[in-house]
Amino acid sequence: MSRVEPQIITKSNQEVTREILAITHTMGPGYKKAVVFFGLLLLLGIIGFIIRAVDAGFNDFRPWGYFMAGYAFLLTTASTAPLFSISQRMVHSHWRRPMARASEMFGVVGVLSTLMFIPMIALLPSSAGRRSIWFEWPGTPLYSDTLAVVFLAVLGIVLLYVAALPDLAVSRLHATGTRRKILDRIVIVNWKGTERQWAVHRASLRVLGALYFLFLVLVHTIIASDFAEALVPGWKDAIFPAFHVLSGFQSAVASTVVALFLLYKFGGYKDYIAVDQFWAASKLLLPLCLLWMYFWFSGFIVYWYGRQPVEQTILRTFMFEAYLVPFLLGVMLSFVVPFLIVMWNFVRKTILGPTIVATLILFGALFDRIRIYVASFSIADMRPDGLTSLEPEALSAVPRAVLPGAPDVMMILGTIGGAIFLYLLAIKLIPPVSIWEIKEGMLYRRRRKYLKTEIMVMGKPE
Amino acid sequence: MHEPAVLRRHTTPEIDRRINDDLTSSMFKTPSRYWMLVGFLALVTAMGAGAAGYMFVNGLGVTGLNRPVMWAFFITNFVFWIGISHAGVMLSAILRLSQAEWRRPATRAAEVVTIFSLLLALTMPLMHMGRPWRFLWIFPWDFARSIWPNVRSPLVWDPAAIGTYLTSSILFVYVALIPDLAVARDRTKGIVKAGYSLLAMGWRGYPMQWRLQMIAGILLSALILPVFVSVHSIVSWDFAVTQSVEGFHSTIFAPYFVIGAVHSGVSAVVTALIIFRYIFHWERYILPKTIDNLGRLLLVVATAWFFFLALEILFGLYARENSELALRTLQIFRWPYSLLFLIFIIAAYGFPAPMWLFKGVRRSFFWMAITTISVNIGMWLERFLIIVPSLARKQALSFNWSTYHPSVIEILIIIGGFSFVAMLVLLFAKVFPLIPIYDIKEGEILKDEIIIGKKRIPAVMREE
Amino acid sequence: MTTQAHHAKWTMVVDSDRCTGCQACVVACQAENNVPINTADIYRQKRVMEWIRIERYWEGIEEAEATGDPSKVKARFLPVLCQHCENAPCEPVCPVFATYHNNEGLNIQVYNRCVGTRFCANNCPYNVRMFNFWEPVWPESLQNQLNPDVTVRSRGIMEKCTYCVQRIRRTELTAKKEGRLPADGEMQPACVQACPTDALVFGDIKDPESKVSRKAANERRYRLLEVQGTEPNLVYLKKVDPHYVEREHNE
Repeated sequence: MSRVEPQIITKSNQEVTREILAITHTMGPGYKKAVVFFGLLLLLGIIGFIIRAVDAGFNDFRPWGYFMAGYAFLLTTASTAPLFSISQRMVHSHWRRPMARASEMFGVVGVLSTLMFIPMIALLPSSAGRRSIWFEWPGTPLYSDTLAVVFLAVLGIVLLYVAALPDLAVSRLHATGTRRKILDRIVIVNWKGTERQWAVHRASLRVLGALYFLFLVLVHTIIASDFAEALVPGWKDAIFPAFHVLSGFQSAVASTVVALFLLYKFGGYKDYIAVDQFWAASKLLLPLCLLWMYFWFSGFIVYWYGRQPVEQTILRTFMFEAYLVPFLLGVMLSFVVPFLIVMWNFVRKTILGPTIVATLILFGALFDRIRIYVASFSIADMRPDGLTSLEPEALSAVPRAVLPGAPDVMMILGTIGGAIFLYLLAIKLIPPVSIWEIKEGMLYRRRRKYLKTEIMVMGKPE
Repeated sequence: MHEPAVLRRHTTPEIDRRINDDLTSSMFKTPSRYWMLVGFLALVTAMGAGAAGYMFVNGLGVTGLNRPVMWAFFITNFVFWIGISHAGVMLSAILRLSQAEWRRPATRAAEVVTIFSLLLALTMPLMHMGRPWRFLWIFPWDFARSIWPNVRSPLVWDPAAIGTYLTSSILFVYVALIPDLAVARDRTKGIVKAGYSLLAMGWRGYPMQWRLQMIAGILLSALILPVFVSVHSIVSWDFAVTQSVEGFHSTIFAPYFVIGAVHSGVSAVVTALIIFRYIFHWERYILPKTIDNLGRLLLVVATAWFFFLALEILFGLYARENSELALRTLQIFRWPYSLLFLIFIIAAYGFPAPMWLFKGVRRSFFWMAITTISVNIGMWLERFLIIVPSLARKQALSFNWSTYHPSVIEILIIIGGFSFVAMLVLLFAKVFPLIPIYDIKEGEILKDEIIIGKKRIPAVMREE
Repeated sequence: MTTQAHHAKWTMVVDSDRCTGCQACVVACQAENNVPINTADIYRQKRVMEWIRIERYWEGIEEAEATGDPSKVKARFLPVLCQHCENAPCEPVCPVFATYHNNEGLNIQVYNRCVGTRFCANNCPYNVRMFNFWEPVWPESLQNQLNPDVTVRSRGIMEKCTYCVQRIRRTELTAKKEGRLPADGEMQPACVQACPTDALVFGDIKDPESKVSRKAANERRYRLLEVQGTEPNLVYLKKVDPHYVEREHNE
């Protein structure tokens, strides 16, 4: 088995800064093409949305299932992705340094998901007289959900901004033209890199990270319960929001790995991204795949064993009859295939292996969200009393699966395309590989002679 | 600027000897208060055993159980001790795999607490059964006559999971113990030496032996993790699959129980470490840094646990069904459960978690002992508050609703169980080193420093 | 044709409109099935052994308090015994197969296999599974009253209503010996036999002509805690309330 040498960057500080900024400022020829392509996808999505809106309006739930699935997919992947850098920064891992920014950069996608949430507001009924986690508090879930979603998006962008501030400051010094103007406008703090500034920076990252973490879990919980569980009569499933969060964690690592791979392959950051990152990230993916299955199974076994009629119907609807195909695809792509691949160390120690696994997981998450939200929306519509009665007649028959139409496909493509589009725009401005974190890492990693061999020494600040 | 090849001086024979002396002191120098403590614990244990004997002779009528509260103190205690037993693997395996340096002094104590609390937990179903002398029937015992246990029952999954967990934990401890057994072998004489020699399996510290020991440790760490998760999940399914008890039939139970187990287990290990530190004078090994890190871990675990608790209660109330509302009213607002619930919330989260936010608390042995003991009081009550009110308010046929008062016999058995575990751990410390000697030495060798500007930053060597 | 009895599906109908709450069924069951005597102390311990019990609920208390008219309070009686569920929650959770379902729709308890985990009692929504907390004892005067056809259960095991399976078997054997099929109403559990108002009816639901089939087809029929999906082999008939007023469902 080939030995993977731990990554040691031998360049000097100035070289690192100059190189990363140069790549960020110029970008390859493919960049423009990619921006145009994904911009067109976004446009396609908007067209799909308009067709659907003209066609169906906002009075009725059912036509919006796929749109909601797209939104939930964004929440699961892009909005959750910053958790990767937050958690890894919390445990002081050194390998995250080149990939922390790639995950935080997903914060900009919050713009898209907030925009997508606006039509959902029109669709969401109030909690009055129906089952909901809000217990008929006035104004819920409308205001509470909107507030949480908007706050999360703002928090994501603030987090990105604060984390990137030292880099933006240095980028400003090297920038010219429009970029300089934008950066002048953005960098409002007079960043000099004094010890005090760094201390404040560290502390605010910690606080923002913790806040983001808590709010993300909250948003997952309320979206999962208000837009899925509360719409299905008789569905009472405490683990479902937790499962939603957990699959978010899995997709967070997966989307970061995919983004990192693209930066490595097409972004020109080959000197700073190494197999270390993929190896370590896939070590996270392995338990996360297992946990995905564990959380799913924990919910499933209780319903399966319980055998109450409503539980049986819900299992048949969401898993075994109506939405069998997306369910199987979800299980295969989120657990079975990734697990079988990522369990091998020789696969984990490559760049391509973890990337393939991460891509599969992203598709798995998409199918899983489609199964959950499309089914919930169609049921809510099918049973008019489901949204108006506290004790609705429990789901007694398995509904027919709702297949996607052309606007649905366009909306899903547009959602994904739009997310990538925003991401691409952001990396033009903010270096997608964190300069200050790499430099900090260079301080903590040394090679030393020890007895007859050379050994790596890693600083572990308390 | 040139840094020296190795900044710190590494272990010397003197340091090695000092570590050996310090960490085997519990085995060879026994203060009299140790025997007094063990004697006291043995007495309490004997009292518990006496109570259990009385119960076996007279039947479960001597307990406070009734219809429908068919499960109460013994099952509460069973779940509690299974929970405590999760600490060992949590610390040793996960921290070993994630190469956390600060784990070193804490691992063995955690594993030993695991084993003995598992042993105690195993006795609880026996106490609980109506005819404990027939417990073998839940194993595939009578297959010669084609009489099988019912594999659909979680009570058959339980012994399988716990048995696997106990076996693998013992292996785990043993593999890590072998180099230390060799140290003990070299310091004893006569029959005792023969015993240690047998257990040390000819350990001479050859590179090959070290390599095998290391591989075995890592393999066991990785393999034991799924077992660890499965055990408490299966224990939770003893409850969750019970469709007729609204308070049990909740999908979140498996992860909720597992994370709760880690919460109470790690707390118990912190308490144990602090107590050992005072009994055996391990001030040099169990450092403020060790419990600081454990405190951070606890803060994260406790908050995750609290999230699951919130989900559990939220989705219990969610449907606003009458029987569920009656159950929650009893659990939260009716005397004496209201008091217990208040204590539970404050002791398990409200008091310790905010305290752990402060570095001063995390680094203070006194406060960490207080907060972690508080967690375990809370977590015992948590299991009680899940089990008893749920059964007392089972289903809408309110004619049968009941309540529960523990009898003296039950209380004595529970107390006896606590002292039984404490006694076994203390006796273990008399026979085996409770802090892994070789692990500490390895940590000493790998310890290094790097210089950044004027600062010296602690560092570790990595041989990836 | 003689095998027909083996494929019967034993069902009981409880007509709550006819139940006066007299407890005759409870006493009859106690005598027939060697159920231990419930002393006052046992009641205080909340460990009553009753294979069939009359649950008594008060209705209209709020109304009576509001109007000051105590006659508004009504006693409602609900005889509850093992429902012999087709989809019995108690069965899968027993680790030793001490409880199982037979092909006549009976939920069987095997006393000498039971180890006393009491999991089945937890998972019974009707609370009809009794645990022997104490060794059962009978006063000297009742020693010879014990039914020789029924096992005396020891302490530490579960027991519950069997639909008087000993009577079912005896009738079947008698009928077989006489070369005929058991007639409808020929086998009666003790409670059914003792009921002075015919509130309890027992028989084979598979026989469309049987009394139980005819009664079970009544429009007043319901089954206890139907939402649990246990499919009980016991049908209740609703109380006919002359003062019934149509009220909102969600009251």
